[in-house]
Amino acid sequence: MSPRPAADGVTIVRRIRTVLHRIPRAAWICALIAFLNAACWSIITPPFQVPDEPAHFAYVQQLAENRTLPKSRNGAFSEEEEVALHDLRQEEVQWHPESHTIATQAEQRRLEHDLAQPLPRSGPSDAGVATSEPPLYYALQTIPYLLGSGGNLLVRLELMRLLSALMAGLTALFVYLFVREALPGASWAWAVGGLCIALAPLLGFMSGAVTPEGGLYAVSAAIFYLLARGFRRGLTPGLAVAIGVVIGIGMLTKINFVGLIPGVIVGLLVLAIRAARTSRRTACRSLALAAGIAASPVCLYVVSNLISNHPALGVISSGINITSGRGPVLKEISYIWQSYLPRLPGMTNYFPGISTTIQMWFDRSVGFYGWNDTSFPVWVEQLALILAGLLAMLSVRALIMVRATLRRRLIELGVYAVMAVGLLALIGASSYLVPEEAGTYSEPRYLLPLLSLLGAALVLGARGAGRRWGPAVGAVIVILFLAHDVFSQLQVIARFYG
Amino acid sequence: MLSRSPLIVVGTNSVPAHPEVAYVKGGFSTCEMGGMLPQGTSAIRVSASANTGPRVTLKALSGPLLVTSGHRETGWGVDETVTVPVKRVPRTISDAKICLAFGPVIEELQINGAVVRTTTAGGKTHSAVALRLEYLRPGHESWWSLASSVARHMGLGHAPSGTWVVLILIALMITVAALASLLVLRELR
Repeated sequence: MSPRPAADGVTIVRRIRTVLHRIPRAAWICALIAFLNAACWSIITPPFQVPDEPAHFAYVQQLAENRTLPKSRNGAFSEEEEVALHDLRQEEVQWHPESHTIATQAEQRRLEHDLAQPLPRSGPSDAGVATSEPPLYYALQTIPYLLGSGGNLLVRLELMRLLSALMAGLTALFVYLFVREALPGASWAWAVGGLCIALAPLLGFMSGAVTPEGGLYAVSAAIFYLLARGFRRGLTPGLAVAIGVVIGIGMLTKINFVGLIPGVIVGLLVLAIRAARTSRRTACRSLALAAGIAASPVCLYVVSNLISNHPALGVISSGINITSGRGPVLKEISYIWQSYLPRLPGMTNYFPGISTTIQMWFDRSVGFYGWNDTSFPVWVEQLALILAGLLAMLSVRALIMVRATLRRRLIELGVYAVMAVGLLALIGASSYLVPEEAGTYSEPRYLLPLLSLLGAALVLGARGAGRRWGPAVGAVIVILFLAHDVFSQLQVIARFYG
Repeated sequence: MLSRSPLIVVGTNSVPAHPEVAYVKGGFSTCEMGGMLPQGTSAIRVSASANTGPRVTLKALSGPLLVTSGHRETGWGVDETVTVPVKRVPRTISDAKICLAFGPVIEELQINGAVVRTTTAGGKTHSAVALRLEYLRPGHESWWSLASSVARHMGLGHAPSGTWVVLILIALMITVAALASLLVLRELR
């Protein structure tokens, strides 16, 4: 009787090996490039000069040192972190592009001396704005934190940043696999999608820091890939389990993942209906498996909250209360619409004097680093707009060329669209909650869970140039992304060390 | 780009930049004494802040004469300041007046600066908010010539520390570029 579990273990390892062997080498190279790029960003960006990194570090420290979740969000951290923030002049540098990081050996010596003291690592159970986030990413980050526990805070922070960089590798890997499944027609073009995402500077910047967004990007890319696989090959119990697991991981990684859920549910239902044509029983079993696994972390969360006399949905409950108290739904929809698109006749103008599409989203996507205090000159944004316009035209041309296939796959496209709209609505609704600070959430980093769709658009852009010129255009697109990455790094270097 | 020089501060209007001295709504405009506006100024940093900044139009006057002007488009980020590029100032102006006009805003604009008391011709005193203005022009050294000091600076304030970190970065980015080129050559045929 006893050998059975061992045999199962061996089978699982063999299966994993087989799956890993099936991944093309190009995908692994994309993953390696994304990791190395994010590792570069982790060194270039000064400690705690990424949005909310002090809070995310405090969350990990709280988990690692006290083995409990943070409770308050006042922004009071452990003495060790406070000393590091002070010696690094974090507040003086944040939002002040004219202020650089520490620049003298004396400041460096003081920093090293202070961090070498036996400063308390346990704080007042506070992780600032990160307190309301689910714990999975932070729990993973306790591994590098503890591995580096012999070193000072900066060593631990860098090790944690490198774990995030690994997640950038996973993101690029899944984007490559997504475009391979979603656009199987031209294998030469897959590398364009994978490479461009691997070289995307905003992915490198965010994944080169301690923030759960890095995990969210990877898990979002994974769910896009799994759904694309389902649409191409059909829903199997194995795939359903994978989708359920990834949804569960996403829910435990960052709240924003909720935005993708409506689209994922629609996708699962469509896949189940298609699978039912072959075997209704297998389809129902697969759907139940995915739903059960996906819902289990949420159920655990609700139960643990109820047991500890907290609102059933914890911190999310307060968000729902605020949302429901903000007036008519139509007003909110109008606000969310205008957060991204031009105002329609009859709508109240919530964003006077600004084109949200171009000036808030596109321009910031070109470059918005540090604590959103580092961007490119306007002429770079204008040049980028022209190039993006050309790429969009090529993508549309590719779609026209394959319009017959497109018609057959409209439902699949609809599922991806629902996922995107769900995320955009979530970000817009978050911004609606704080009207006195409109634009607070208009940061392109929140859109990076949709990187898979960007990868697909870039692949279509290359294919839009036709078979003869497509590879050359693809190479040019990759070179443009590489140049964008390098100049973004130089921009950040000039801002912090110039 | 790297042969250009970074902007340096060559003068100010001597107003301290106390944070959050006032919040103003859109369509706000103001003129204030700017002190000495140095020759060669090519940008003026203004101590105003917003999550999504409005269009800023700036005019520098010498008496009734327009010395220079410039504008910054809507959408600038959450810095504590906004830098407005202007046409190069041809000569030093000893008593410049700087006029600023902020476009419509989607949130209140945060003014960092100081509250100053002014006396009107009728002898009445009233307090007004003054913005800090910093005059910027390109320095004498190019980014290339600053490379070694930037590299030294990059070695400070994080782990691993030391100037050698820059060599690691260069090696990593060369590897990234080489791998990307390899994949492009192999796949894009």
